[in-house]
Amino acid sequence: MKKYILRRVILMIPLVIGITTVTFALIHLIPGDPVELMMSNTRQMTQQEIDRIRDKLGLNDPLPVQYVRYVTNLLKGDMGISVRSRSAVSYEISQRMPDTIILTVTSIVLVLVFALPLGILSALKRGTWIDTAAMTFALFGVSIPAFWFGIMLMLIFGLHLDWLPTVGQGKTPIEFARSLVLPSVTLSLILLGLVTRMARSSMLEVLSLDYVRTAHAKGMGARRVNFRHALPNALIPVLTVISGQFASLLGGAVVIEKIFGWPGIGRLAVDAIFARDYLVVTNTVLVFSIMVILVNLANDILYSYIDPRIRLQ
Amino acid sequence: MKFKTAMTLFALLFVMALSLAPAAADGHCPQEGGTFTIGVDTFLPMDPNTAAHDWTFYAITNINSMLFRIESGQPVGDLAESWDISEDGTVYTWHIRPGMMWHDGNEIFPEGESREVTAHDVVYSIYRQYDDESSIMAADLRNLFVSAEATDDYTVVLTLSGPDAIMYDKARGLTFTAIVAKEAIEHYGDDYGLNPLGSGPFEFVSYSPDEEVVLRANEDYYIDPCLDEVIFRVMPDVPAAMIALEAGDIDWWGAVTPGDDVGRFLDNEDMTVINFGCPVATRLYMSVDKAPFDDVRFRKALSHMKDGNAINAALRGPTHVKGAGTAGPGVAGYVEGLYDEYHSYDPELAMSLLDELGIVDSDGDGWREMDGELLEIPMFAWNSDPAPDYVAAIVDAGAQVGLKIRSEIADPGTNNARRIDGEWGIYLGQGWCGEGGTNALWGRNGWISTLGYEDEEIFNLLDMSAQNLDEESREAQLQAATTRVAALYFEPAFGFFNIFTVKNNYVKDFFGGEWTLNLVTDDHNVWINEDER
Repeated sequence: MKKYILRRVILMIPLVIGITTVTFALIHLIPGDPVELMMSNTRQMTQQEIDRIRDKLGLNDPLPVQYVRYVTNLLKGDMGISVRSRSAVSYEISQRMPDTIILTVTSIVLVLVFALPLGILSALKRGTWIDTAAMTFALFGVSIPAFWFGIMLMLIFGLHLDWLPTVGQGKTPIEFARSLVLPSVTLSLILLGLVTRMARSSMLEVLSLDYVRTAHAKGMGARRVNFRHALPNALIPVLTVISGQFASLLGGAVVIEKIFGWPGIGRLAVDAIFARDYLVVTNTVLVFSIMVILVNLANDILYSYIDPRIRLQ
Repeated sequence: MKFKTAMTLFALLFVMALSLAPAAADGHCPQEGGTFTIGVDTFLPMDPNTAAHDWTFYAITNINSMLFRIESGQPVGDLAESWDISEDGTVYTWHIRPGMMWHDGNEIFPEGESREVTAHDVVYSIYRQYDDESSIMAADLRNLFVSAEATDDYTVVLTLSGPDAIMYDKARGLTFTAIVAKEAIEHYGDDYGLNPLGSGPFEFVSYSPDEEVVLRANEDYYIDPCLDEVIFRVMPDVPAAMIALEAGDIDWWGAVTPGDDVGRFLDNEDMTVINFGCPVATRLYMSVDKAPFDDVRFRKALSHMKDGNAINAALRGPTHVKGAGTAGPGVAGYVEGLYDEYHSYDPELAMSLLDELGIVDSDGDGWREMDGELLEIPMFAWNSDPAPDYVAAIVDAGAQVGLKIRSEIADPGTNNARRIDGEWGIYLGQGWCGEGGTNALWGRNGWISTLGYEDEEIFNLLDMSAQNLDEESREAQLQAATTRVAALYFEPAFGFFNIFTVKNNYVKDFFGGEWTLNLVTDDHNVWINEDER
């Protein structure tokens, strides 16, 4: 197991180098100038002023020179300076990373708590009103755009009922938890429908297998058959979906972060792309990639615990 | 007895009336304490050298003192109690207010160990902007700057090589030169913007990027702020921000309010809509150095083929202002009647001008050709509302006169890159507020110079007006420049839109109609009526 993990970690290095190189090149290929964008909508600067600032920030250097400077600094632990905010990129990312992780993990927990049992229950009660209700709910989750759902939640629970804050993060733990409700529920909607349907179909498939029938034939109790024998096998595809959707959740968080004024790395990345803040884009993609790779690794490890037949080599 | 009762009642009524009156200049607050939460769409670190962002300056102008602030479009004393200007307009002598202290209780000045803000700090702050080539100091001020000198602890002499008429402009000159403490700059270096320190009415408490900035009242300020705390909350999604405003989660939306929402809030008795008083133009730019745009008749045809006023009214709602020119109503250089003279809707005239140019539909397919080939013109715009709708309206107006216009919507970066490269086509554009904006746009090396907008007479008029301190002749020069822009370029205008912000009515004595945010001044001291919240 240790060897496997070590090998995966070592394999990350060329992958990460490749990702940063491609991202760095691609973001520079997109037309647009960060200084121009920084100035155009706010303070009024002439082309002469913009050129002077570009020169000062090293943006007039040839691309290979800028790339070598970026990699050299990165190896020294310096991610560079954001053109837009003129702050260290590492500061920008570190300030937002915990918020994105809290939001994403809370949403996944909501999915595990609600969607998983619902899907399983739906499979166990196939053809009943419970199954129909669960699948209707799943269809709702899959079909409703998150940005619309978020605004509706704000209108209902923030404006009309005044139960929850519409924006921002509370300072005390209770206030923080209250401010987390609407964004995390909205974000989890992306996965709720999908996981409910996945859990149901996966459970149904396992329940129809011979070994489950055999267990029933042997006189084993329904609860033991369903939860001890069927469920672990049904969970593997569900876990694959959840881990596979982790990156989507990070991406989906951008919209949610924007609506609820939640500071997150997704929003930082999107703002940086629009502002052509090259180093922020390259480094957030780098951090995203590492996160996705690590989640996939954790997922592989988890497989081997859920299903001992799977051996990591 | 009756007399006593009447007197008692009178006294009571008098006290009640006092408590309902707005905050007095001596710092009296009808209701002390409370948090004022301001919603803004984005926020950057608060270094005045680099914060190229108006809403960020809302915080800076409350943390740091400026030499002056702008109220009702006029400069009023802030750190400088008063100032004198030499007859030729080249020497400014600023008299610094004594007793202004740097905020204390922080890493730089521990509690009770602050020092007075002096003329030397002002000189340091000006040179810090001037010496840093990547600072946002305006080019015209930089070009005129000769020296800044502290002749004593309370006097700063600023010498220019020529008079600067836009010294107090909304977005140019010294308006955004915040006075910083050398100790803080040396201690924090590039991170100063994350830990700003000033001498203004509010002290910096915390900054969470993309989330909020928290300030608390500076009790040592020469006026005691009524508020305890000010929070700038970043809300990038405008519809969500409007809900938050109505829910009272923010008290003032400090960024531009969309036209539809302005209409809604105007009917809401719990809200007040505030006009910034600096209308912004929406117009078209073209590649005027390339055919067929290089012929004034073609530009004229583009101008007359569309009903710009109707389009603007439909897209801007109640924020729409009819007019045209480089500056809007209320701004120096505005010329009334310019729209009707140059941009009126006359598709017949547009068609005859195109015919005259030989741009005709010779193959009968409904589209006009130039030199035997279909004339298909790209129209570039950015991808946020309402820009794509303006493009759709122009594409439609073009079709009405047989001119094929192709929509090219892209993100602002791509759109800007096209303009810088001088790509052939029509560009949707917005003007900038104030005279500084007029100069930056139409002046020498201006923002649209890459499209071929180069006219020595306009440059000279703007250069002269920027250094002309005589208000009357300066206005005439600016109006002449505006009129020449209209006549020479036939810059197809749609009209202006007013910049509105919206506040909840429980926010009292609020003066929010300026780019610099003045929460505590000699005349205003914002407070929150918690009973009405």
